[in-house]
Amino acid sequence: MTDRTQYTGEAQSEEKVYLPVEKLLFRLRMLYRQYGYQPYRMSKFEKYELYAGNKDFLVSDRVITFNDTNGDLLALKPDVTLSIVKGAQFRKNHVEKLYYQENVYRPSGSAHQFREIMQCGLECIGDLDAYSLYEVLRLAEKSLCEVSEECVLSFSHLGILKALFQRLKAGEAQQAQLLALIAARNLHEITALFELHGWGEESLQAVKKLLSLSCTVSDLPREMEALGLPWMDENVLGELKALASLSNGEMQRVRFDFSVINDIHYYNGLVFQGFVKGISEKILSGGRYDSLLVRMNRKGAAAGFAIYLGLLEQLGFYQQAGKTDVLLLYDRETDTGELKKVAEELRKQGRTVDVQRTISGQYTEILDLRKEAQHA
Amino acid sequence: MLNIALPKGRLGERVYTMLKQAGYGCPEIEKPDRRLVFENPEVGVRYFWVKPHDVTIYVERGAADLGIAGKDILLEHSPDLYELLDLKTGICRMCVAGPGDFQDDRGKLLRVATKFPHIAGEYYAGKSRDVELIKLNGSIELAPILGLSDVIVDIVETGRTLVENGLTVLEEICPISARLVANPAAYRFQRAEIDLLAERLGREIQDI
Repeated sequence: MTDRTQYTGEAQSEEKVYLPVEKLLFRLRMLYRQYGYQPYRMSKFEKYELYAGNKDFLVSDRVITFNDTNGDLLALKPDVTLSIVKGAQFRKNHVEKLYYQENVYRPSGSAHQFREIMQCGLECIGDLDAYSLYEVLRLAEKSLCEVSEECVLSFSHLGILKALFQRLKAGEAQQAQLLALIAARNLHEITALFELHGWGEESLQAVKKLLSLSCTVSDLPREMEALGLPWMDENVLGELKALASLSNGEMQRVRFDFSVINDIHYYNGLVFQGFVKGISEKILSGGRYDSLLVRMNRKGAAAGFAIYLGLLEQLGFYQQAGKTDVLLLYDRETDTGELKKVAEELRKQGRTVDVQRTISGQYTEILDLRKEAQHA
Repeated sequence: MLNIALPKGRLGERVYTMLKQAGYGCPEIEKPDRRLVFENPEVGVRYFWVKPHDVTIYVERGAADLGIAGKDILLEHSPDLYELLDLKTGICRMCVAGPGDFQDDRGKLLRVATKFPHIAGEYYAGKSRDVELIKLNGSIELAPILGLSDVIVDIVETGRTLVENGLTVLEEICPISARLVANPAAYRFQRAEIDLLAERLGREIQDI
C-alpha cells in the first residue's frame, strides 16, 4: 500500500505541469550532456576576496556581503565563472567541460536593486583548440534555438580590435573611447575621433566596413579578405578559417557583428552575444577568456557562456500553461465526505481539481455543491 | 513595423518633420488631439510621444525599437543602446556656468549644482577636482544666486537665461544634439528596415 499519488490523464501530464523554463532547463541539460559536459554545483556564497580582486570582471561591482561565524567576509555569489575557474586544474591535452544552473545575486534593472538572477551556462577550460571553440559556439547557438528558433548569435573576434589598435597606435584611454563607440555603432563620433587623432581615412573606412559586415561563420574569412585589411593578425584569420571550416555551412543563426565586444580586459578571442525575438536585451553572453585565467594564475585557456534565464519572463516562460479543470464550490452545509469523494473521483479521472468556497480564478468547469443557497 | 519613441515638444516635432521628409510620415500624428500612439502601416512605422527623459527607457526595454534622445540623456544614463545618427538638431552645449567674477579656489571643495550628476562627476573626475555634487531637478540657475552652490553644470542653448540671472558660461563640457538610438536586440531582427530608415533620415540632416 502506497500513499504516493498516481497521476493519470492528459491534464496532469508533465507537459502541463512543468513551467516552460523548467522544460527548457531539462532540454539544455540533455544538450550539454550529449556533448560530454558534466554538471557543476557550487555553494551560494564565496569568500569576498575572490570578487574584490576581479571587480571589473563582474557585471556590477556591488556585492552582498556578510560575515561568517569565524569572521571571514563572505559574499553571495554575483557570478559563476570565477568560482569554476578557481577550482579548475590544467592537464595537457585535456579540456574540462562543465555546465551549471545557479542563482546569482547582483543589482539589476533601471532601479539597480539587488535581485536573485537564475542563470545557466557552460565553461570549457584547459588545453583548448579550434574544435573546442567551435563546440562552445555551436552549443551557444543550439542553446538559443532551444529558447526560440527566432534567434541570432552575434559574434566577433577581439583579435581584430587588437590588430586595429596596434595599427592606430592607440593609447589605453583612446582604446576605451573607440571601444565604447564601436559597441554603440556610433559612426558619427567614430569619424570625429579618427579626425581628432589623425588616424587616417583608410583605417576609418576599415572600421565602417567591419561595422556594416553581417555574415555567417562560413563566409567570414572570404568577406574579411574582400575588405582588404593588410594589418590583420594572421593568427586571428587562421582561427576564423578553422571555425569556418568546422562550421561547413551550419550555424546559419551565427552572424559576425563587429559591435560585439564584452570586456576586453578578460576576453581575448572569440566573443558572442545571443538575442531572441521578443526579448529586449541579450539573453546570452560569452566568449574566450584566457585573460581571466592569467589574472587568476591559472594555466591554459577557457571559453564559455551564460544564459540569463530571468529575461525569459518576457516570453512567458514562468507562466503555468492552462487553467485548473474543475472547481468544486462548497459551503458550511455541504457534506464534506461527499465533497472529498467527488474531488478524488475527478482526480482519478486525470482531471485537476480545486476545492473552494468562492470563485477566484479561472476554471474549465465549476461544480456547485453548495447547500445553503438551496435551503434559503 | 518599427516602433519609434519621439520626445514630446519642439524637438520631437522637428524630428518628426525630418522623418516625414524621409518618407516616414504618419497623417494621424498631424491631427490635433491628445492621443499618444499613431500608426502608418503603409510605411511600417508606429510613433508614440513620451517625455524626453523617458525615450531611452522605452528603447532600452524594447517597448520602442528606435527613439530620438538628447546626447545629454545618453551621457547621463549610459543606456545600452546603439547611437545611429547625430541629427544635428536640438543643438546646445553642456556647460559649467557661474557668476561672471567667479574664480575657482583649488584649496576649497567646489560645490556644483546640476541635473546631470553623472556628467558633472565624470567631468570633474577627469580634472581631478574634488567637488560636492548637488542634484537638483530644475531652476538650476537659482543655486549660485542663493549660495547653494558655487557653479552649475547645465545645458545652455542661447545663454539668455544665464545672462538674465547674472551668470556666464565658464567652461564648455561637450556639445549636445538629438540622436537616433536603437535597441540592440531590435536591430538584430529588423536590421534592414532600421538601416534603411537611418540612411534616409541621414539625408535630411542639415549640415552645420
